[in-house]
Amino acid sequence: MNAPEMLARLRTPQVDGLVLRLRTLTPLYTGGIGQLGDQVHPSNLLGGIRHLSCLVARTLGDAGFEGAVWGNPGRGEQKAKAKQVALRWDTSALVRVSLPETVRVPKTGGGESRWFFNSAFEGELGLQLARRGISDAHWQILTLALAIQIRHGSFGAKDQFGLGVLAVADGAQPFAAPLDLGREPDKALPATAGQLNLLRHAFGRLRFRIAPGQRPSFNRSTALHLALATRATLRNALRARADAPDAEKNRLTALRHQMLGKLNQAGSAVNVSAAYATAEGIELRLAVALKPEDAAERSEVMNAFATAAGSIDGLIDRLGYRVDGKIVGGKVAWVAWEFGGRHVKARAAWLNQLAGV
Amino acid sequence: MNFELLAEERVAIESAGIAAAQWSWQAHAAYQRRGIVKPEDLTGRRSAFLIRHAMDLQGVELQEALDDPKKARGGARSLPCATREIDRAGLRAAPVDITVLPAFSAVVTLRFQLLTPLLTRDDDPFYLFDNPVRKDHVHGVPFLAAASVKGLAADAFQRGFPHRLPWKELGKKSDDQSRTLRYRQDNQIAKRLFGIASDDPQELASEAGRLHFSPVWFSHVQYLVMNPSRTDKDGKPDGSGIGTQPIQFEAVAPVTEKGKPVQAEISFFYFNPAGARDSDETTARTDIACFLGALAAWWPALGLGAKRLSGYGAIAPLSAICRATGYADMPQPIEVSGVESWRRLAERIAKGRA
Repeated sequence: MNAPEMLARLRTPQVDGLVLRLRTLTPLYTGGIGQLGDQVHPSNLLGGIRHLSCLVARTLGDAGFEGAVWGNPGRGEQKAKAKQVALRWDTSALVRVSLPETVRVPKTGGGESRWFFNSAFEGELGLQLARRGISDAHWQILTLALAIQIRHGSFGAKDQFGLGVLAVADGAQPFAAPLDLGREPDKALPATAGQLNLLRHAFGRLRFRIAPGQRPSFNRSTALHLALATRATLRNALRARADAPDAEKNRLTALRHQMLGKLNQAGSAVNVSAAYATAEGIELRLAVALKPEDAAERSEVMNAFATAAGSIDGLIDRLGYRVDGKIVGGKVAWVAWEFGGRHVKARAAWLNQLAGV
Repeated sequence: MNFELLAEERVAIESAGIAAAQWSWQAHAAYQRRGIVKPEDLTGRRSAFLIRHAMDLQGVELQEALDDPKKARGGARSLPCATREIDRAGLRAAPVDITVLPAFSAVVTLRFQLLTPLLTRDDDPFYLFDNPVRKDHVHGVPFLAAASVKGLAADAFQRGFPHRLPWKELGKKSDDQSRTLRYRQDNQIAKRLFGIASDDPQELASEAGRLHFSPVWFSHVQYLVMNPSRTDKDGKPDGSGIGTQPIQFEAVAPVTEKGKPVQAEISFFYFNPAGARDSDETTARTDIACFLGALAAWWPALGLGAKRLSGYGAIAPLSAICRATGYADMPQPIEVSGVESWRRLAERIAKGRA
């Protein structure tokens, strides 16, 4: 065989890998040595993709996915194993932007909450996934999870405070293959601390409309303000009434910290994106991991969040926007929720729906 | 140099001729390690070093940041290294006189741009940080070792021209050394390019590969921080969603201190053993073209260095140059530019004409 014939047999990563062009809907931030957001750090982006893909795998009852795809560093008695997929980020087309240094949202009891930002990136970026030893079944889960993350989740750091929403830039071609609905997957893995599945998650969309008589400008500051006002409202929804017994106050404080985070104790289980413009109007997305082990508390959280959204208006009055609710069954539904708990018996169909395939 | 800085007081060092103003950032890093007995005492020294040398502070004064490191805000600073000294020593571009080599030998130089920080682990127990980038011992210039380059090249070739059997089914034993041996026994191009290392010369003789690799030199270093999720006793995330102790990594920076993209080059030298078996022109062309094609396809996708599968060490090809001897179509060096240059050079060499 001569040289051109041999070279023609070369197998390239594009043959069975994935190349995506993405664009930011809200600025992308991944931290750094001085917290300035002056570079995009691949490990931060990988962590989010790994996390969501493992949630999807556990929803399908696949216990071996994490070790098989993402490997491990060989701690203790574990044998070190390399990742079976490689990620390459092309950030050359991203533009660094300054974010509002401080966003202030009034507190219900007086005073104000403050959030601090530095800089982040906007524009287009490339993501290439190259397959190494990953099986077809795990590749399907990984690409499905990536589609879900793009449609409903976020990437990078400070995503609980609005940053890191991405969309597919080059059209809406589905890149994930749908799960086979004819074969019910194994039972979902038991959801324990740190090992949740998507059945214990909810994804929501919140729309905003322009308040009567207002002509507001939509900029980064407004987009973040809408997010943080929404976040503050959800946090307030898990506060006890002033006249509640101390035990109830303590219980709700613990629940609030578990769901919305507490410095050095718990990370946030609620991501609220900054608002962004779509063809249908201004919207933001919510992603909620229902951490409580008690089912009644999980219902309590969802009910509180669902009804609280209507009271965001009080915090966004001066921005010239109103929450846009819809009448469903005689009641106003503020958030369009996708709650995993309702899809226990048709998980594959729900995951396909989330991924848009 | 590092040992000297660890052993002596600063006054004594400076009295011997190394004035503080001439200390490089690397000398400061080595000196900061001095006197540390307990690992936890390193935290403060590391913070102070990063604030002084590795950050462009913004909105906060140096002293304020040193007094309260939590206030330190700023971008990662790209720290220049003594690359001029490496050039003077003739290490960066080791000369190979192609005209005196056997026919159908070639030297290929691939130039690329580094897109993300590149990690290479050095073993230096006396350094301020646990994860230093690999540097030469005399001038402290970061490099990717020639042995690492060979490993990365062999990996790319195996992916580009896979065995008919899955990798895990190769070899008598279930280890990569055994699988690599089987792969190269079955793929004659790989065997010629990379050679064979046998532990049992009675059964199989070792064979040197025809490719010779050079280290890749870089010019700038930066620092990264990674904060792994807190885990339970089994090493799995504990669900709290918060980080552990941040880990600092030294890395080759993808931009200079002026914000320009960092470029580097890799040189390979294909020695054709004229007169030996499989040393004809067609064989040499096939070897070089397939090797280059595999690098062109896989290195930009997988990157170079440690944690490359996570996205570190990402590269974009810039140009490719081939200097060869004995080929009628290559009396002069061939140079190709652009993102597709490596692939185009592979195709050009394979076809045998412009």
